[in-house]
Amino acid sequence: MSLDMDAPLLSVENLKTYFHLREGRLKAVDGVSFQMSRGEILGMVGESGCGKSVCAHSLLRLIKTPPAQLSGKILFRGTNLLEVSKARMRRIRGRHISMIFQDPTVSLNPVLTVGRQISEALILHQGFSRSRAAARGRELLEMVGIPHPEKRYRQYAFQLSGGMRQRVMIAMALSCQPEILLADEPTTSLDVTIQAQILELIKEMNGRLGTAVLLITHDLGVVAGYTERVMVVYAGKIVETASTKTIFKHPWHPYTLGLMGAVPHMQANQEAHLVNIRGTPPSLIGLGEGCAFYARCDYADERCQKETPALSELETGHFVRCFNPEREEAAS
Amino acid sequence: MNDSPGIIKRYLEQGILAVVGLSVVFLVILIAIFGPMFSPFGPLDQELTHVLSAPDARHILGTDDLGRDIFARVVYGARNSLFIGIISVGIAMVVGVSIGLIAGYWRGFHDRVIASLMDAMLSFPPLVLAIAISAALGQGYLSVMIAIGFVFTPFFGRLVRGVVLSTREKEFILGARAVGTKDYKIILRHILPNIAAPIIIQVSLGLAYAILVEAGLSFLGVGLNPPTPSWGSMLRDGYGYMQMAPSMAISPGVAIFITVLGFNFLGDGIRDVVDPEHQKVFKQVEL
Amino acid sequence: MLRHILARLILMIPVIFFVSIMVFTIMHLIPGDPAYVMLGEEASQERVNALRKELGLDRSLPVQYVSWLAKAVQGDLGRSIKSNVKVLEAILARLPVTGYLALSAILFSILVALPVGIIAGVKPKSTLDVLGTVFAMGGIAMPSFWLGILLIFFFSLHLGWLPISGYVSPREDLWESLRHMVLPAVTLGGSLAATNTRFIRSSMLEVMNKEYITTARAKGLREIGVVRVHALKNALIPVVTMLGLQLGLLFGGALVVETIFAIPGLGRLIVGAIFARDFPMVQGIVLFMAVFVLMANFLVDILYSFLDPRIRLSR
Repeated sequence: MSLDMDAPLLSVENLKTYFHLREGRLKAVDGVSFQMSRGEILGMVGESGCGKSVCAHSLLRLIKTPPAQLSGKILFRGTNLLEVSKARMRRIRGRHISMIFQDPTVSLNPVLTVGRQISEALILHQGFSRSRAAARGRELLEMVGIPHPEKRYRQYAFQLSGGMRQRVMIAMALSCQPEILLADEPTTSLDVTIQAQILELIKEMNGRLGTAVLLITHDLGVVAGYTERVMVVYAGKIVETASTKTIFKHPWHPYTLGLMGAVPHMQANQEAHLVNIRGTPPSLIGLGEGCAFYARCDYADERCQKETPALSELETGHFVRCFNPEREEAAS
Repeated sequence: MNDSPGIIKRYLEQGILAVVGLSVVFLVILIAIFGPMFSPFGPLDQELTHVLSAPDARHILGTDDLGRDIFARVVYGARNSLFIGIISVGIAMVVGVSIGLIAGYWRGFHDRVIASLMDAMLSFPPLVLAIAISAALGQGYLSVMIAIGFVFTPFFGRLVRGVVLSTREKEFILGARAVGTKDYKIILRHILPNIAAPIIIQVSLGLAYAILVEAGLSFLGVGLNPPTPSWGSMLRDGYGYMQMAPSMAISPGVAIFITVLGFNFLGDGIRDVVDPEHQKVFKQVEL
Repeated sequence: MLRHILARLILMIPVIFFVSIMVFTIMHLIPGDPAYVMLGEEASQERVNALRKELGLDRSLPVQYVSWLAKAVQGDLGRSIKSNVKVLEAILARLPVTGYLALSAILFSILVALPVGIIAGVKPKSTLDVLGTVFAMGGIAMPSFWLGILLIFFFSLHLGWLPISGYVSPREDLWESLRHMVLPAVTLGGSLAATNTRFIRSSMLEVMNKEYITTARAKGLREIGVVRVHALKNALIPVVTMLGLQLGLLFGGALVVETIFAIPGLGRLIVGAIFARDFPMVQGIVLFMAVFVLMANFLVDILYSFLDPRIRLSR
């Protein structure tokens, strides 16, 4: 694998994940392309069911391929993960690219101790002995901020609180110091107060270990506080991507505008009302030509219905998939 | 996006087991009701010149050790088995559902008593209990039906109790009670529809099991009075003549097997359609 | 966990109480005079009266119940009317034989159900799964006595490989003992195997769909490792309880199997007692079996509490 420090760590090119169902073809991920650099925190935001979770699972090839079909390229340090052998992929999982999931309660095995699950990756990928892995495991627990790590190491998932369980998941994922951490809605199942703690932890780990993070969420607040760049996903495609600052300052895609408008602002005056994006997200089965957002868009015209717009870089580092993007400054 | 034909098609596919089961059961019922009309011989008619004969044009399945037509006996046996099965499962259902409802809905002391009672009934090996009761009451239809009915009651009771317990905690029930709806109305309108499907499934599976138990009782000689044709007793008689006239044992066995299988298919098939468990296929996609 | 055990024990008390009432009632279900039924119509009035006295049938029901219960608790289950042996002794003499049969049946069922069920659960809709499911459904529908007859017909009469019936104690001749136990074990274990295959399959299927399995795969474990380390333990815990609970069904099945294969176990004992109208014996055996099953359920429950850390550690 090339070690060119300037080349992007991860380069996804036209990733498509289609499910072949009896009802038709479900295009969960429909031509997604993006890049991740070392150590950056990249956000992926969108409504439930827009395909962001499937995208993350696809990166690790965790999708069952008979009903699904993956195409495109996933270049990790220059190697296309969609073409490597299964054995090679297993060596990458947990070792170079890790993943944490939404609900830590069901993502941890209830009948194995927490410690056993944390040391598993260490024993598997780095050939640690049981005892050495256990010692390292306790260190990891401490690193993620769990008090009394020796006690917790021997406990089971049900004996820990929700926040602690997610910390355990993070410890598990980072045990082999992977280059990339895929965080699939890591705070959605947690209490609001705990959410901030976990996100801070992720940020801290990113700083300390230099692990790049793909932070998937539906919460703009999370995006605002913890990402450097962000991609907005709609109906399986990326519709806008820019640095976080830029996106919040002047979002251009009508959908992004809608998302921003739908969030209550403290500074807004009394007359400003919450914008409701009319309509509902489209089914991902049998999507035809034309922009997927057409039916709900206030800026749409005939062209939008017939042609599918491509992602274009309208400003440096700011890409939009729209024929009629809102190029004025949005009211702040 | 028109999803309706897709859903119906999917239900049909999921429910294929139920369809097959229903067909088999229907067939058996038809044979039980109309079969005797097509049989030239009665189940008790002995033809002592034609003992233990192999299947031929006159006797489709051959004759047994007393020259009786096996086909006729199998067909009449179907009537007996189904009749006994339906009545005993019926008894079990009525009693079981009632006590299950009482235990599940009113909880407290009633629940503990009934639950203990059911546990006690369930600790007896079913066949053993059925034999003991049947033997105590004497041979014949009634004792068999009572015995099997008694043994099956806790199956229904436990099932209903479980479903009622979980349903009554659901919000819509709490809402109904908060508004002041009378208990019996809640049960009738809200709880019964929820327990209907599991009960139907249990009835079907129960019929399958009841037929097996009745056959077992008859096989051991504790069931219906001979010479009443019963599949179980036919097997018992046939056991001794296996080498000479295998049809004597094989025919009733096949009959039992097909009937039980049919009811099992039906019960499992309905469960496949109704139980959201089979929706798991979608889990893969729902990521 | 200790509290859990105690709680269970206390819950058993009303159950045992009901069990005893039910067993007691069996003899009193008999229409007409039980003494006559037991001795036969032609028995002399003297004998009938003597029996009634002995069994306490002349006293009031509650008194009878209490005295019967009191004796039962001490291990006195009365005497057989026909052979005059102590019921408990007769039971304990035959118990090992039935136990041998039951264990063989369970062993057989596990040997079949475990591999088939696990593989079918891990790879649903595969050829093995479909075949396995078909066999399982067939096995459940097949009455054990018919299976037994078919097996005898095929293996003993036709092929002559195995003996038709009979029992040989393993202490006498191990090889012959095993030969004689094969068909009975398969007959009794057949439907068990079918049920267990389906249960193991669905348990595995359910577990394989859980999120923690995805987590395990995301760590880079091989599929075999995922199944062995993460899935099996979760899936098999309920199976262990299932096995224990099947003890009751085994007793029932044993009745039939012992009759077909002429095995001198508890099953034949009770069938014989029923035909001989030996109701004290029948009562004794039924009570014994019910208590045995209750004890077994209790032990299984404890085992389950021990295996599942969520229960083991929460009390």
